[in-house]
Amino acid sequence: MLVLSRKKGETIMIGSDIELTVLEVSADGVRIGITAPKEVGVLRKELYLTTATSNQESLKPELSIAELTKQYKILKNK
Amino acid sequence: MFIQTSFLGEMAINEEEVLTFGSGIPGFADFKRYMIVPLEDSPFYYVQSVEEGSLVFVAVSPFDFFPEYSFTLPEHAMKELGEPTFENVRVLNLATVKDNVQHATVNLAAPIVWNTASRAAAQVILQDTAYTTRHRLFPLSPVEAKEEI
Repeated sequence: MLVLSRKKGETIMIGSDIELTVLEVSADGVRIGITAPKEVGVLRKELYLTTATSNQESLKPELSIAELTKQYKILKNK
Repeated sequence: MFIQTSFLGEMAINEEEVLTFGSGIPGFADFKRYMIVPLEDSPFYYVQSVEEGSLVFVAVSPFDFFPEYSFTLPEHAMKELGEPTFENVRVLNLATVKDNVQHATVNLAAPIVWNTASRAAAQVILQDTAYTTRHRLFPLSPVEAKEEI
């Protein structure tokens, strides 16, 4: 990992069209301004990780096709 | 071409039905190509990787369960999907089904979206949304509802 020191108001460029600017530094956090092209998705990493965890749970269905169909029919006719 | 899957058996791959996830699916970024297999007489679908036979997800059409479900596609997703028209957008949401269907939940916070014209697909992570990764598909029975409190 590349580690750079930046002061408030200073910017880091990633490639020629992505910029990260340190807007505010406080005791418990940093506010960062991000400029990036529209096709670049910008996301808090924890959201990505939450999605990955949820996807992991959707994997490998525990019910066979026959069992899922059967249970659904019973549920629908309740 | 056929692939051997662990869950759906041998499957014929029709290239015209294969969706390509340019960025993969979070947690499974290495796999890009999937087929959607509807489960007859049910609201369920399987999202089957055509690259890895053992990789399969359960999904539902959100509108079957949540008719009011809506979100705005962020611009980066529109780009990734090749700027689809409204008519060409399809949506499924991954579901978690354990041993009892009644307890199934669906992730409404990160819909699977694709463009029927280009078959470009993405799992779009919604930001600043009220939806969560775990909405129940079926109401609890009164006994279970009591137990949950």
